[in-house]
Amino acid sequence: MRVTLQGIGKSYPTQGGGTFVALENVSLEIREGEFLALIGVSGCGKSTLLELIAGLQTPTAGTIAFDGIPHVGPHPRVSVVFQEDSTFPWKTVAGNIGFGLEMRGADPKARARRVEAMIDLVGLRGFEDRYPHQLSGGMRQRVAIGRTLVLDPAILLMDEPFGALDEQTRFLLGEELLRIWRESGATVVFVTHSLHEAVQLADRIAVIAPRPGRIVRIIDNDLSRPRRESHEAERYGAMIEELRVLLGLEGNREQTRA
Amino acid sequence: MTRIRLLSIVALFALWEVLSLYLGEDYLPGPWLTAQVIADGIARGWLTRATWITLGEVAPAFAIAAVAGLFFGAVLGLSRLWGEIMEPLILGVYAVPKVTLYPIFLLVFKVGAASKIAFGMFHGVFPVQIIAQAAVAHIRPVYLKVARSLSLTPAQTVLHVVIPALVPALVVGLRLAFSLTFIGVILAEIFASRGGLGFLLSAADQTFDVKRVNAVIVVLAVIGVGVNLLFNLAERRVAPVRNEERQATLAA
Repeated sequence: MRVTLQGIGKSYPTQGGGTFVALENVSLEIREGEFLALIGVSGCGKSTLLELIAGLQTPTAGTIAFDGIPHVGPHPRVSVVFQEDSTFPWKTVAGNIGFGLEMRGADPKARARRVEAMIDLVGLRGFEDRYPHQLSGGMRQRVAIGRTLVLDPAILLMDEPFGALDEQTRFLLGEELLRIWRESGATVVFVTHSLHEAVQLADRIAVIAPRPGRIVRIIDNDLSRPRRESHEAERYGAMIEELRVLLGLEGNREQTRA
Repeated sequence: MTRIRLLSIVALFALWEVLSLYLGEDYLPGPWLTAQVIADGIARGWLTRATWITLGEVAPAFAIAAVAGLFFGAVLGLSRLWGEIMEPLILGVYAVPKVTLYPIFLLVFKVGAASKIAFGMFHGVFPVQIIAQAAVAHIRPVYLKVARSLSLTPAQTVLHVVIPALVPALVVGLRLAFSLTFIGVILAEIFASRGGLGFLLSAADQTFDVKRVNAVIVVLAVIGVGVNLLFNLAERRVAPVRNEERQATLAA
């Protein structure tokens, strides 16, 4: 499914009676089946943009269209993975993954089959009867990903899904996400503030500048997969450097590796 | 764990026996004598009758306290405005030693079961309401975001997301509500009533019948501990995650 953002703006009234402009005039075409990263510094509005696409917030200007049809509110074919742990502690791994299907009234047998397949896809075989508190943070995020993917979304929105994880887990889950993305054929929109994560994962990287939040550049990432810093060191480095300049991080290298 | 618990119970009885030997059975009847008094109370019915009267008052008092507390807690937790309007009033009433208000209950409900139930309910309702309100107000926003992104109906959200998320806090609240309701009913029985364990206690106390006093205290303790065990069982059924682990998940 294709998503078209046309002149999207989002502003909030502030306590002093003024307005805070979180996003201004964002227009973007998200292509069917692509892996798009939204990158920017903290507070630039990238998570707001994701929540607008998710229908969790309403834009104050502009329209969002799915396959050309304008839509307001959560779309049934759009799923979200959040940064914080969003697994339900009162449900097992299988119960969590099957939650959306259960709520949509799927036939129990079909549901069990799809949950089984999803447990394999997200690599949680053998953990299906565990509760979230018995899992690591990375495994809980796999559960959250499985819970959204099992609904067979056309668009998968991810808000810094690996943000709370250590760098190794983050890299490995990123590689697995790429596998899942290829197998499911969904369009992925991935919010991150990590340059390396964006370059590792995305086909296209939309760079968002803050105050007001706006897209300053969309970079096509044609590095061959699997992407490693060592494979095409020069082009990889150049891309990181370009992002760094666009984000205004030049001369402040300490902050760039998130 | 169970062995340690068993040991502590044995130690308690041993201490009781030693103290009673030291003070003399006239001041503190020992376990054996107390057991005989309880057996007599059961055989002749005075103890069982009083126990049934008390339980018959505690049960409705607790039920009303739980339902009203949950309802008002949920409403005040969901509505920030009403929460802020009611908070000083509730804390004010809660801060008054409740025993001092018992004469008002007697005036309104007269001597009998109704005043005891109302007073017990009055003791138990506040902690449930306060805990439920805090739990509803502080439910993790991400759970509600999940519910909204899945386009759940309001009923589905409440039934499948909000209530399960609140269960651990509610069990704590209900546990507290029971012990306070129980205290409230016993207090009411002690002050002005014609039946129940509290009445038995104060009647025995006035005639210096220490053996009966002791027997009633043991029955009260058994009821308290027994209900607590029931709560433990219920908690394990509805919330498979133990409290400390749940808190660890919440903190993460």
